[in-house]
Amino acid sequence: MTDALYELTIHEIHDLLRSKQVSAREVAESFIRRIEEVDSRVRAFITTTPEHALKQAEAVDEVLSRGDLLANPLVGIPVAIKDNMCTRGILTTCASKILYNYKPIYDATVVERLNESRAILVGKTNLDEFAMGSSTENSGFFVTRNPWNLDTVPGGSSGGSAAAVAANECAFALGSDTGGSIRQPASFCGVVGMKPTYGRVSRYGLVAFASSLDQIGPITKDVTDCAIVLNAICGKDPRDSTSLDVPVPDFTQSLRADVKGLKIGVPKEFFGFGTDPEVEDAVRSAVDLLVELGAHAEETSMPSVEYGLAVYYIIAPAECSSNLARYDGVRYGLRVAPDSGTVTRQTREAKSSIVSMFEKTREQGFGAEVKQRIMIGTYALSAGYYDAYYLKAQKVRTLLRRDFDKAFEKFDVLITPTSPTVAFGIGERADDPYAMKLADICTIPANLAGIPGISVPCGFKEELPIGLQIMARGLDEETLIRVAFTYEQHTEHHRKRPPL
Amino acid sequence: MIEHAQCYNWAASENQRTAFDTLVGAYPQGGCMKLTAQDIADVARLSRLELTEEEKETLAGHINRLLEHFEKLQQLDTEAVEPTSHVIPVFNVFRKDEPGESLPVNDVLANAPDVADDCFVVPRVVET
Repeated sequence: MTDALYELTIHEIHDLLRSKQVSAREVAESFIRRIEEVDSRVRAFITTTPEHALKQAEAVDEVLSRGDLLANPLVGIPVAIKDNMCTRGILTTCASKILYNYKPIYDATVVERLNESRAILVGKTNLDEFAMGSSTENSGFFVTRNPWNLDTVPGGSSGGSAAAVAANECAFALGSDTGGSIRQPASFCGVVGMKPTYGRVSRYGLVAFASSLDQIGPITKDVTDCAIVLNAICGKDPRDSTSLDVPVPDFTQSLRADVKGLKIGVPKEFFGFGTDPEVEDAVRSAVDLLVELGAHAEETSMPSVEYGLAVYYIIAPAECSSNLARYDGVRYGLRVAPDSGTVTRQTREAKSSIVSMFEKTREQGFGAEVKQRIMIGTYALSAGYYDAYYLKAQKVRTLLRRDFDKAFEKFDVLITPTSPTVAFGIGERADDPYAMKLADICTIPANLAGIPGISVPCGFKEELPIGLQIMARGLDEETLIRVAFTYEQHTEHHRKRPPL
Repeated sequence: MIEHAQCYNWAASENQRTAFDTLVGAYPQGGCMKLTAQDIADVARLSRLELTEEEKETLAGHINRLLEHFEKLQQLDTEAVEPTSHVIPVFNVFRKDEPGESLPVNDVLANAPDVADDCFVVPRVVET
């Protein structure tokens, strides 16, 4: 029994803890051993925290022995957290050399909430540097591998989190999603990933990439676990003024297998981006299944979706160029000494020492993709070009939102592929940034519109998972969960685990 | 497996490259702005990035290709459209001006590369 604990979902482990068939320490040990066994191959973690986890688990056992907190579903559950969320005293690198030694002095709100729920932190996961990328190949440290096929990418940017869940190295993980960074790796790794409505989850302590798009969400083994984690992390936080002051429902109440009368829209544009025919088949079969179960489905059109990628690649770099200005080698992280021969006061002819320090620190600290995005963003925001690029992109973003508003007048949910293909080979798209960016083409629109989206496993191509994306109106995560749960109850894809 | 993957990859990339070009619009050459080497140097200076010559060249290629793609947006008439800066209509969130606890100075300095007298140390910026 103990040996296979790492295979279980949150709710299964919770049942065992609650009925005292296992202790939190046994659960933690099982996952720690699993990480030792497989992570040299998967490389999901930048930092593992076994001592911390065992200490937390022992404290949990003490609380449980008193009969306290037994009803809290996350008590004693091992979690992995993407390394762009601040964990007090524990290395938080964003997979960037510029933060290679950064130990936050405070916890992100989500981390605080998981601590209050008495979840057990087993480690911090790899990502594309500052969450910029689609394959985790842009990590400043190393590449994470897809547990289903170690020669393929796990997706990104939350590739470490998705791979860790798929490889049973944690019971669940947190990721962040700016253009698909939770849903797309969840799709590639055959697990469940949700980006909640913008503002549902506090971003306090999430290292900012593109502030109007970033959102934290769960990566789990099934939809039930997704609802459980959402319950723990959603809600207003005074430290994030964009977090929404709206009631948070009990999402587990939406775990009902019932889609009778549900109206599904299938926007044809999402199938037009060089979608793999097998991916399309799997997604359309999923829609057919929901129709058999009582839903209505209809093809629809959202013409502005084809502009999503261009809008995203203006807005996200613009916001990133501003957010990443703080990495200057002064208060934390890497500092590279100025060139010799620099002067105190900058002139037209001579560079000052402090500017040289900024420039050398950023040159050596940031990777190629990050530099590229900072450059694009700086250019798009610079005088004379602002209207042509940034303002224009914001206006087209409005058109995109309107297309979603119109679709949701008619439909309860929209169903699309999560990504046009299954996981691709490591290195395969590294020299072709455009092919790389296509992996996020179906997920970007939800970030631009601020609506929630979930990816659930819906099939396989050559032993590589295919993801189904479901999107709903803003703040209607309940319908997403109900539809995803209904689908899951009638399929077996989510039960398959990679042969590691 | 690898052999299969290679076949598939070739097809997928070709397919996708075409899809991308249609999608983001293969803009007529010379029809849009191109960043010169001087522009790249200026943007790098604004970005506080000391780029190598090789990086400047690669970046110029990448950025120019992306700019071509952005031109696609100009096809849309957005004259009467309001820009979206944030998807939720939050403009200003006020709170009471209540003094709270500040972070301890030692904690704040803990991650700094160089400190002295409870301050961050940087290269000299004022001439004495």
